[in-house]
Amino acid sequence: MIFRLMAFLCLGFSLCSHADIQFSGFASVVGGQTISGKDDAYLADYSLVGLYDDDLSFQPETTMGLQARANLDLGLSFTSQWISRGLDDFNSDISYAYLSYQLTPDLTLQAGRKRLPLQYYSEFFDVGFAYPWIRPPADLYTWQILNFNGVSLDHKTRLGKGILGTSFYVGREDSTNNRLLSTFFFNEATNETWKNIIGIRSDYALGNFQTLISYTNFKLDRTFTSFTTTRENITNSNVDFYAASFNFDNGQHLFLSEINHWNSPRFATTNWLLSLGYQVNNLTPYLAFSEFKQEEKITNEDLEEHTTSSVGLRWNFHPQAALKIQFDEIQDKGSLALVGDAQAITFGIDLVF
Amino acid sequence: MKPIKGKHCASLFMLMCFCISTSAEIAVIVHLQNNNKLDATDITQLFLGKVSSFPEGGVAIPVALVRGSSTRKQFNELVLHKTENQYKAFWSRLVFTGKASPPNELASSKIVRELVAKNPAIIGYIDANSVDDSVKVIATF
Repeated sequence: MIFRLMAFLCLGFSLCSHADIQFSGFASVVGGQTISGKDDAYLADYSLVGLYDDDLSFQPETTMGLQARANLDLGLSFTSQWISRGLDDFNSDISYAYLSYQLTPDLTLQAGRKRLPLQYYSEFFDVGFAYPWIRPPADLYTWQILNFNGVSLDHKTRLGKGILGTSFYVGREDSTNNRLLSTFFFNEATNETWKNIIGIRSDYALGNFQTLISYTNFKLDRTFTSFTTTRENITNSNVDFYAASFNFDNGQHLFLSEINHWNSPRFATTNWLLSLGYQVNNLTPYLAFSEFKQEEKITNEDLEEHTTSSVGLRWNFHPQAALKIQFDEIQDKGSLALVGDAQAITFGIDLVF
Repeated sequence: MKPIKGKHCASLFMLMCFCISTSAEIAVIVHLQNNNKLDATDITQLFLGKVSSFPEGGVAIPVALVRGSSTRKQFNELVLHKTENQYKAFWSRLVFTGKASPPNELASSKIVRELVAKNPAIIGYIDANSVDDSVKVIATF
């Protein structure tokens, strides 16, 4: 599918002599299985329900992306990104499609379909080559909405010896038969809307240090569409989402951390991650620990609670490719046991072009 | 040819010594009319797309050399502290999220020098042996 699209694009754009088109792409071919016992499962990707069981599978996390950027001069460009996933039998889906207009060298307006930048890795979650692990820890990247349609304004400026980047965004996302809610949590058709999304994120990079803080507010609507449903719809539920990251990377030592917090009338969720890596020659051995903890605010009951301890190795065997292998131990501790405890091995090759 | 003052003469002499001994020094060059003063941090920020204007204002367009060039490898490791793989990983975050595009990659120091000589917005790095008086050297590594 992706190659047909590419052929179509090449043909289409060759007729249009004024646009300079740049193609780029990425791929992660990932396989894995649980090794702790028969019937153990590991939910490696919540949003898309990428689930490993005790048989080796390459379906849950194998992802390929192709991007085309048309540069129309005078600061105007259009970018589109198609994603094909093992989970979707490699049918393509549009993850990004936006126009970008550079108002000044350091002020850019973008409008269209983009990834919702809730957290540090949200926008490049699919680009495995961009981070050391097989995936950003599942305990932190669990949300049912990944994209939004809207507008963002990005600004960069010097502050002291570092660079301060600030981004404002507004938009909305309607997800019909939301995959995580419909096929995993509720087992019935569920529509999810995040509306009046408004957010700000700010990052400061100074030498080898980088910090990011972000705040997003939206109103959540949830509709159970089955005639036989016993669940109540949700309308206009206010959600505040906060995230902060602190990272250090001097080309040798790597320290990565994140904490985020979801607050809605019924639920409060706090998730965090700590990871250490050491980059020597072309090898990066790493450790990571992450936790997801959700509380029902009225009863104070711990609903969903799970941790992941990971150890892995990234081998940069090629300037544009890396081989990774990772061991994860998941402990499922909440009263709402999701998939249970498990140990899993995953491995894969990430590349960019 | 402009007269060379004593201080410059001395640095030119040192430059020549380095050229003889290591032959691989890197010069970061800008247009003759570009009066910005840039240290290693400023240069890194421009070449990693963290900011796209010069400290004194005006758009800054960094250009790189193609992969396989020893000058590129040396610049990325010495100034940006990144191996080729780390450089690609860093840029893939920006490219696939629409934040910035990596510097255009040119085939030789000579081509970079010619572009820099023509356009005040361009900043490049070249093999110091390729420097001539058509461009201004703002840093050497």
